[in-house]
Amino acid sequence: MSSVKAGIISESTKLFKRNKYKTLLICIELLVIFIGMISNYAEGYINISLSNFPLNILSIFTNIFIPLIVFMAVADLFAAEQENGTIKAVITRPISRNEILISKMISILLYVICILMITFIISSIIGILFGRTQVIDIPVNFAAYIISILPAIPIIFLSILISQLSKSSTSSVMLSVLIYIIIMALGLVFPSTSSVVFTSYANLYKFFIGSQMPVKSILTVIGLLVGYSLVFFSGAYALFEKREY
Amino acid sequence: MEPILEVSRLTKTYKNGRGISDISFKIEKGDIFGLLGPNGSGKTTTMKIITGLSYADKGSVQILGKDIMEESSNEIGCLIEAPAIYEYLTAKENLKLAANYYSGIKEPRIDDMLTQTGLIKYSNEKVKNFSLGMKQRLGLALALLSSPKLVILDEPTNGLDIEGTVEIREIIIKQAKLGITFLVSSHIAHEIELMCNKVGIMKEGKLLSISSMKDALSECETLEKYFLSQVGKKEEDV
Repeated sequence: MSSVKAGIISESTKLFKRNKYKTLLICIELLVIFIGMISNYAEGYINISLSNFPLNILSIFTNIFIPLIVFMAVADLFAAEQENGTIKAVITRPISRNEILISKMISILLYVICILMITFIISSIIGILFGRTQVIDIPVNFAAYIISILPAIPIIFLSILISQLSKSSTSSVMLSVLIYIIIMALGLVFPSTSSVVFTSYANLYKFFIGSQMPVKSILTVIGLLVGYSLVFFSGAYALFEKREY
Repeated sequence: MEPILEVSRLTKTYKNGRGISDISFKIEKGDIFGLLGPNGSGKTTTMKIITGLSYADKGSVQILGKDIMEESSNEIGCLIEAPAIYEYLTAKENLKLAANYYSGIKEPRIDDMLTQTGLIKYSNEKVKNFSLGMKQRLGLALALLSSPKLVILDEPTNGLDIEGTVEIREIIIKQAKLGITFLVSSHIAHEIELMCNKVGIMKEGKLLSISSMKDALSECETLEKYFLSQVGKKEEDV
């Protein structure tokens, strides 16, 4: 357990110390502010409703930004390190390979959580300042942001699995994006399959909003996400474990 | 005396048919054991298996009596091929990152390693601005950071100028006097001769002979001649 903790500290340091990820965080938040301003001053042209700005922004994040951020971070912590040999700095330390995989995964998740939380704060402020039709329910919105962490987990494991099959960080990102689009398209082209495709639940928070919570459906979806995560983790671990450097 | 490292019948064959075959040797405390052989002789493969970066088809590796195939050892420090350092971090941050994996490594130990490797002046500089020699010294600092019982260095002076080579060699000899055991590889006989007290001659994936440096030099005057005599002897046998 202490190895995993050490791994999480090291991997998070690597992510948060990189200018690329600091800049990405700033750019994304500036974009949120920009969308809020544009929606306020050019209503009718831009279709982001200010009625509940934090939740509308969240939909964009869960479907587009979070997967892209995950693919980039996975490519840097796995494929790029394997490509340039820096993975040896971790493999030769007293930490097992499954602990390395888990600590890298948790570090990426922490970065995603960090982005979601900052976005929640900024979008709530914009919503309060420019909101028109309703009072923003901050606790509900906060819960929605927290719940949105769950659908990111199978995406991270899928991307790790893809990174183990990729020879470079670029191919890892490209392949992750391509496979993600194919999986999403699958749910759209064949609607009957959408209920079992994990990408269909990017907006999982919508199950929790409303007068009645569909407990059975929520449990089914969580089970589905856990199942996908386990399958992707097993595949990624099997490849990572037998890989030679 | 219990050996620090015991390698038994290590065998690994790559898809191209190359690899190592039946490598066995022991290293005792305080030794600087040199693996001497041309490029492609299997030195790096042997070291990668010992450090867990690669897996053997057959054979075993024991460090202080524990099989490394069963549990990862925290008694090894290593520098395999190029130093595994993060260029976007400073020298100190690289060491701090490694220190996270060990309990009890605090700031003074990190500063001490930077001082010993002559990097203290540059501790807060990003590694991407470092010269090859500085990166190699940082790699050595990373290998020595946890005060391991065994340090494995693959071609530690590769690509360095004369001054850089001497600096690295002096650090290794100094650390060995403090009780650290070293396994060092090189394809340069002179390097091994100046640094090691024991030598193993490798060629085409086989360990041809093991000898103390004293015996090798009394037999052949220089290690280069000793290497040639061992390789020639093997070819005659074949």
